[in-house]
Amino acid sequence: MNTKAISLAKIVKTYGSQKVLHGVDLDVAAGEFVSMLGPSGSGKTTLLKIIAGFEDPDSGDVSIGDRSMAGVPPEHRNIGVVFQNYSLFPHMDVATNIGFPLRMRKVSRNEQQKQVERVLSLVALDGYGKRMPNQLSGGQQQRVAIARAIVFEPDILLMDEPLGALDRRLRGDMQLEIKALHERLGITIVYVTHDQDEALSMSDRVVVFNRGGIEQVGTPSDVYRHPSTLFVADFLGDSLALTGKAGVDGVQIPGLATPVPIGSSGPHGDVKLLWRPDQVEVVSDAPDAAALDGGRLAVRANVLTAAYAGTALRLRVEIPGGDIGIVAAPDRASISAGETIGLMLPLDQVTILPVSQNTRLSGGKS
Amino acid sequence: MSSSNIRERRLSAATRAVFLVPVVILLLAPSFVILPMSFSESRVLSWPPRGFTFDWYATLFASGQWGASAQHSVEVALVSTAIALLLGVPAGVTLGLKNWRFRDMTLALIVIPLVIPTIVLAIGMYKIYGWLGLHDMLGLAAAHAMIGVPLVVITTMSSARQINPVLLLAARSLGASRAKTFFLVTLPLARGGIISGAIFAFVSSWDEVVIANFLSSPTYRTVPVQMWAQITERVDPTVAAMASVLFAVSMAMMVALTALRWRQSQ
Repeated sequence: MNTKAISLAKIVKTYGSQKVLHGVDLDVAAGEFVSMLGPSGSGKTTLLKIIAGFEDPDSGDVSIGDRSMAGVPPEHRNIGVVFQNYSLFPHMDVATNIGFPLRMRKVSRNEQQKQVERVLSLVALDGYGKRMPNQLSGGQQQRVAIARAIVFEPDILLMDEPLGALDRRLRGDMQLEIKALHERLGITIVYVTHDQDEALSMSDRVVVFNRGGIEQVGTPSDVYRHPSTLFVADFLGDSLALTGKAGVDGVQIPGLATPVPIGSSGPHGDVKLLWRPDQVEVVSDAPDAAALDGGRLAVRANVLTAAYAGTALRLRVEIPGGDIGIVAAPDRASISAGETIGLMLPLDQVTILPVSQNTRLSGGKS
Repeated sequence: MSSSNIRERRLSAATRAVFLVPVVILLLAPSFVILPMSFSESRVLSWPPRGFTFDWYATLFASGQWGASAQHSVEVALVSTAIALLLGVPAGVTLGLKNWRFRDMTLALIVIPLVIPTIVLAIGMYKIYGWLGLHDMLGLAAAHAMIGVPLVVITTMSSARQINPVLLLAARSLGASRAKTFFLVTLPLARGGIISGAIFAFVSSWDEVVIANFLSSPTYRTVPVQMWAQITERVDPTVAAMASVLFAVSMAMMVALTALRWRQSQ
C-alpha cells in the first residue's frame, strides 16, 4: 500500500445516550476509491462528518496525510465535500459557486476564471457559468457541486450519497462520470452510499458498516464473494443460504444422511452455506431428496415468486428444510410460482458463515 | 362543476363581503379621514372638510418646529433601527439555525418588550434612563431599539429557518471560516427577513408616541410627540397635514415591504 491519505484510529462518537461509532479503525491509501456502505444509521455518514471536521469524535484520532486533525477546523483540512442534497449557494451563479473555494484561498481573479472554466469542462458543463443553481436540473446541480469540490485540488474528496436524489438512469451515468473523474485526477475518494451496486461497481475497496462498527473491509469481489458475516452476505446482494451444522467431518445438512465433506477448517457449530445466484444452476427436474452429485449438492426447491429482472428470472425459493433464498434462472426458462425445481450447488464455491452475529471470520472456502 | 356549486361559491363570496367590508372600513376609515381634513379651509380640525387648500402643508413645511421634529424622528428611527439590526440579526440567525435546550426560553425573553404594555416600559425607562443620563436622541433610540430588536429577531429567525444547514457546512469545507460563512452565505440568504425586520423596526420607532413622550424634552421632540403637544394646545389642520405625511411615509414603507416579499416569492 502506498502513502496513507486518511488514517482513522479508534473513533468513538456518541449522540446523547446513543453510541453511533464504537472504535472505528480505517486506513485509506492515497488515490484510493473507498466506499462506505451500510444501512441508514450504521454510522457511515457520521464518520464522513468526522473526517470532514463537521463533527468531533469523542475519542480517537483522525489523520490526514500524516497530520493529526485534532482541533483543525473544516476550512483548514483541504477536503472537498459533495453532499446528497443540493448544496450550491442559491444566491450565487454557477461560476461564483465554483470560484468560492478559490476566493477563500485568495486566488487571483484571472486564475479563478481559468480554473472555473477548466472544471466546468471536466464535468461537461461548458458555458453554464452564468446560470443560477435553480435553473439547473438535479444532475447538473450535482455536477456543479462536484466541480466546486475539486476546483481547489483538495487532497481528499468526500461524497455523501451524492447520487441519492437522482433517478436511476441518471445515477448510472453519474457513477461512470465520477469513476472516470477519479481515474483522471488520481484524487482520494471516500464515498458514502447505501446502494450496494454503486459501492461494488465504483470502488477499489468497500467498507461495510453495521451498527456503528466496520463489519468487513475488502475489494468489491472480496466482500461480495467472500463475506465474513451473514450481515455482509445479506447486505451485498441476493443469495441462497442453507442451514447446517459444521463439525470435524464436514457440514451436516437437514435431509442429507451423511455430512457434506466441506469446511472442516472453517467455523464449527451452526453455520450457513451460502451461494450467490450466478453460482447456482437451476434445473427443471427436482431430486426427491437432497443428494451429492459429483462435487455438487442437488436440492429440490419450491418457487415462491418468480420475477422478471431483465436479463434473468429472479426466483425466490424455499428449500424443504425451511431456508428461503434467491436464485436466478435464464430469462427464457419458463418457471412460475408454485413449481418445484432442482438447484445444483457447487461445493467448491460455497461460503460457510457462522450463524452467530458476533463472530467474524473470513469466508472459508473448502 | 355543477351550477349549485357555483351558486354556493357566490353566496360564500357575498357572505365574506358582508363581514369583510365593515372590518376594512373600521380599520382604514380613521386613517383616511385625516387626509381630506388636511386640505380643508376650516381653521379648526372639523368634519366635513370645507373647500380646498394647501395652506396647512405650507405652514407645516415653513414651520421650524415641525421641520426639527421630523429630523429628530428620522434620526431616532435610523439609529434605533441600526441598534436593533446589530443586536437582532445575530440573535435571529442563531435562533433560526441552532437548537439548544433553552432556545424557546431565549426567544420568549427577547419578545418580552413586545408584550409588556408600552406605558409600563415608558415609565420604567423614564426612571432608569434618568439615572443613566440617557435622554433625547440617545435615550429615544435606545428605547425604540428595545422594541425593534424583537421585531428584527422574529423576521430574521423565520428567514434563517429556511436556510439549508448543509450550505453552511459546504462553505466551511470549501475554506470559509465561521465569520466568512456568516457574511457570505448566512446573511445573504437571510436578507429578506433582515430587510423586513429593519422596515418594521423603523416604522415602529417612527410611529411611537408613548415612550417618546416620556423621554423627549421640549427641545427634542419627535413628530408624534410634537403632534400630541399641538393637539392638546390648539386644534388646527396643520396636525392633519403632519399626520397625512406620517401616514404616507408609513404606507410607503409597507408597500416597499410587500413588494419585497412578493419579489422574493417569485
